[in-house]
Amino acid sequence: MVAQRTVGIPQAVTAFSDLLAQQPGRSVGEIQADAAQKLGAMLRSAGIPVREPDGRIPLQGRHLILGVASFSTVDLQLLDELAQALDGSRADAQRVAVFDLQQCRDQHDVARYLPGAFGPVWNTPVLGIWDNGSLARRIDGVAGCRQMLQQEGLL
Amino acid sequence: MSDFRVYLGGEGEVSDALNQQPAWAVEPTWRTSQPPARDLAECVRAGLRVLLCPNDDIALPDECADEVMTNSVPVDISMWLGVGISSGEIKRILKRGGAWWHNGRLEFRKP
Repeated sequence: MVAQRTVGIPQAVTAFSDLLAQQPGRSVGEIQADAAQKLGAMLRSAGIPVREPDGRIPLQGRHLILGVASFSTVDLQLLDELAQALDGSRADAQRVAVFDLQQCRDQHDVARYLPGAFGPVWNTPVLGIWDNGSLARRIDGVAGCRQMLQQEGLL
Repeated sequence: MSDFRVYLGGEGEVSDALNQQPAWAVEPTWRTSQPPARDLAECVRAGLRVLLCPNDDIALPDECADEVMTNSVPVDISMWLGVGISSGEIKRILKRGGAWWHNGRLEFRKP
């Protein structure tokens, strides 16, 4: 029997936004660098699909890719909302994948996560929506991404 | 005389602050992250005071700022767009007794 992973932040794991909480004796940069190292594993632990560079976009149905910056508190707060909303819903979790823009060295790297004439990413978070394998829409900024995730029933 | 406040990475969220952005803000596809999404020219026409300079070479003199603010921007780390904000530059431009607020919390006060 294969164990089913549930979606959501395990109780033993703190919230995504806690990665950037002030810590006595540690600089902002040290905390942000640490957050970039930990975010991928934390996403996997929470059962949220992680977008890999050059990954395939499903050719059927609607697929969302959310790029966040692990140095951004507001981005990680949005991830907290997403993890809470996806809690227990594997079907919803399969419609979205998340990656950390801090894994990218430049815009060329970003394009490997967000293919299809996506264009430069200046602000975060950034959300791409693919319909039947084609890029249908792009949203930048936390307010627009939150609104679109709500419209998609993912928040 | 009112305090001189500098918002590094700012887009006009703080009405009386000088907003710093790196050179990529002049790119034709750049827009503010806060709605309404505006390009740099629209920001300036709307009355925003904007300083364009590198994140690690802030074009302000030593000890000129009463407060420096940063929110959800990289500090002392690089990102896909280039170098992040330099904490050394923040400390350089702060007046003695001046404060650096990061994500709304006091990060540093210059002795």
